[in-house]
Amino acid sequence: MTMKKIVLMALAACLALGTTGVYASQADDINALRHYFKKKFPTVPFKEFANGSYALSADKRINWESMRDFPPFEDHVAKGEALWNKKFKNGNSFATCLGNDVTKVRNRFPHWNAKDKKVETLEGNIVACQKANGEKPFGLKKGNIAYLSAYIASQANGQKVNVVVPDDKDAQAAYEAGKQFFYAKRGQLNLSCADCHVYSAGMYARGNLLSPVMGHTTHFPVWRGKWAKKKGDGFGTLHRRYGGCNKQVRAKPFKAQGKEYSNMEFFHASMSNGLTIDAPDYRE
Amino acid sequence: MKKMTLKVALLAAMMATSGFAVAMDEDSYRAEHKAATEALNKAKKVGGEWRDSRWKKSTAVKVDGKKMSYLHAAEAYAAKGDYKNAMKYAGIAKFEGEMGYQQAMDQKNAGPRH
Repeated sequence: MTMKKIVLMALAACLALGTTGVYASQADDINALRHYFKKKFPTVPFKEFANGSYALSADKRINWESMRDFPPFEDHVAKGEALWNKKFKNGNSFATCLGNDVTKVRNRFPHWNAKDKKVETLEGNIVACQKANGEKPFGLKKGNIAYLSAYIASQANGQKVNVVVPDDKDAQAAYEAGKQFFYAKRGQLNLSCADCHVYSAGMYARGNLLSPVMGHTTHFPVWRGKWAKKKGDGFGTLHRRYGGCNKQVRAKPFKAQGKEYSNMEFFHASMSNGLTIDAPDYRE
Repeated sequence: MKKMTLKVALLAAMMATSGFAVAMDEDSYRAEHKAATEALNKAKKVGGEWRDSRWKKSTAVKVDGKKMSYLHAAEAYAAKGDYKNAMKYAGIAKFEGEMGYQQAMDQKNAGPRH
């Protein structure tokens, strides 16, 4: 038996036993979810999932399109642009930390930081940049952080989401932790994110049409009618939304930009791979 | 005179008994509060705390016009000497702590089922 044959046989045995592919990879999860939603919503084209529940209901879509004709968040994006261009006291700016080409910022996040062994998010990096330059950091859920994030995201519109989980056991553990968080039931109502946004997507929870998870992260930060009724200006980050979802199932929310939500963003954004960034946007 | 002494003695006995009962209630409440805090700490460790158990922004119970969590309501009632309600809300907080922990344990390996 030649060496080549031995190597091939060993490789085949490994594949047969599954020893090379025990880890449920990101690609497997994405494919499984796409297959699931294709079966659940056979008439909805893949790219439409970026539009959330507005891809599922013609009535809701009319309302959404009319909101987009005169977006209530244009001023916020302009404020974000001013923040991007503003120099820190030391002469640096956000571009010093995030890169001079603003069109290439949004799509780098979330990503795995192998050195610090943690998931990095855009908003987390904005705040880290301020701290590193002796500036007072923004709040993490609304206001300036959402304005700046919205401007940065708007400059990446049209690009395709491409979150990469590297071949690194810590990165995969973070991804798996995010995935577990997404699928775990929690709170007094004993509901998981997946209960609403996978299994019940397309159904109504009171007056709200539940959106599919695929496409969720493409349009954040968002301006929400619900948030506009409360304190603030209706604008908020993805982690603000996570906290809101947790509160709705009557679980204690976790800290924005903490490990739990950052890991979940890693998984959550991965599920939108291949969809187009279109941010900021209006949501109910 | 004898009748008067009897009345005073009876009154003293009643007051002592009620004081004893209040002390008993307070002890029971303190034990329940401690048990609730322990249960909630255990749930917190596994990320299983619920919204209304002791979260500062919870609006689950209204005490004197102020909205608060179950554990905070228990403390507010205890401060007013209302140990019946204090026990009730400490008990709910304890139950939620136990359930939150159990839920987090049950969901430890949660994943897709599609």
